[in-house]
Amino acid sequence: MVAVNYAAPERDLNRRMDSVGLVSFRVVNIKDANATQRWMTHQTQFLVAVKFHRGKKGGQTSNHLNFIRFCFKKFLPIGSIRCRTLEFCSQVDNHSRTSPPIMMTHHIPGQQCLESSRPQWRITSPLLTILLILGGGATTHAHSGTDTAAGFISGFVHPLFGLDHIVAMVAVGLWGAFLGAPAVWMLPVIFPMVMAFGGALGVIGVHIPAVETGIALSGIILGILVLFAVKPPHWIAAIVVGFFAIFHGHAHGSELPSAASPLTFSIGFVTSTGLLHLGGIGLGLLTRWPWGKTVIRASGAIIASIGFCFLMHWL
Amino acid sequence: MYLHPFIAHGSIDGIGELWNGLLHPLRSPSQLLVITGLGLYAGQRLRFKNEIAFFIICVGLGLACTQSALIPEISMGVPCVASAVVGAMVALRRPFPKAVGLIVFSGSGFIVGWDSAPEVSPGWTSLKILAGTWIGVGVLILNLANYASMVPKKAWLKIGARVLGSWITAISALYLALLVKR
Repeated sequence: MVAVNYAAPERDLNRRMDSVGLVSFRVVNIKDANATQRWMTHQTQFLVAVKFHRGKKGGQTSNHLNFIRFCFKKFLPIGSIRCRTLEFCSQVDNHSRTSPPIMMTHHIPGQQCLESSRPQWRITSPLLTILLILGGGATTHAHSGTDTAAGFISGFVHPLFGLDHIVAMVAVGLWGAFLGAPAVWMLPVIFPMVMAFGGALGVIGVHIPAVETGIALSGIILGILVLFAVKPPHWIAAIVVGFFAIFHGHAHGSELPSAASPLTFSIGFVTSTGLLHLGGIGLGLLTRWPWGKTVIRASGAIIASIGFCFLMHWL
Repeated sequence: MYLHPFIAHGSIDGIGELWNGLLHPLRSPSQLLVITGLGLYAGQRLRFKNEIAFFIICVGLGLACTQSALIPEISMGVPCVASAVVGAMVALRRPFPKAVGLIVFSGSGFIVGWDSAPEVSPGWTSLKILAGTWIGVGVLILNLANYASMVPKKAWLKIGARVLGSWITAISALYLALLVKR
């Protein structure tokens, strides 16, 4: 399990962190959308340090470390970060010896920040300094009066930070390619439209039950459909894809920030989603060769496995 | 793609009012969505002279209304309602009656014109901006319709046009939801 320590009010950071600089950073925890939204509403700029603890599943920690490093280097200045495994804490606590010296630890009531007596990996202060400087470009954006999650790039990267979403969207393209015309274009036409509808429901706060389960099931079912090259009537395929698109859209919609530039954010978001479909269709073109069909069906098995892992909360 | 609704109605220094008007539809993403959708729709129909003519006339009417204080300032979501409708029509690719096409083109044209109010008080300067905007919108829609009319010759381009239509609708729906949230 990963714990995130963050220092929030900006004025404090300005006093204490002259040599490091500020990084605008947004973490979305879709496991607790309400808490996240509250958190995001109140605070849009953070100086972030990440402290890694060895949890029960120590093997995941390395991936998290790599993920965070990647995000710091590549996306911090321009985009939002979506990571389902980060824990937020919002209650002031004393600095521990292992925490970076400028950090305050917070706890959200009802959420527990898992601690381990022997941290296996830790971003120490020198490394933290380097990471923050690397991400320091965001300072300019942060003081421009706009939300860092605004704009085309932010919208574009938003769907790319969820493996469950990615595999499902690629699966739609793969399945469409298996089904052939007209499904090859029908599904990628239907999915964004229905997903946007689901996103709109999420944005305006309409509750849909078991969204995460629906997303995981979409990976499983679409993966199985690709694996067995199921070819139902096109209208059934459209209903299946549309049904799951609502869950994906709702999950994204409930996470969408109050973007300062909603239109460009939406353009980036939809374009990214559509390109994932097109990527799936591009892969699906391999079905014209016998070995390609095998590859695609194997991809379906992988997608179903990933969906199953999400359903069991292994990922 | 760093277009921004708030700066879409700003001006570029040093290029004059007419050119600012000409480039205005390109700098306004919501209008660009509407015009792209209309261009794709017209291209799907092949015969689109009447629709384009109605569109350009109504753009002129909308532009004129912005100077007459007859109508209030347009809401940010109105152009996206138009683009959502147009995008859905492109994505569905159904043989809609010609009257429907004319109504959609006319209404969208008026909205585009209405949304293009210059941020200067009425006068010679605003007139030049409006003239530039009118010409710019006309040139843009004619070009898009012309290129889109080549689409039916290629099967994969037909698919691409419909996918683009669905994207336009999705973008508009999401944008409207975000506006509601704000």
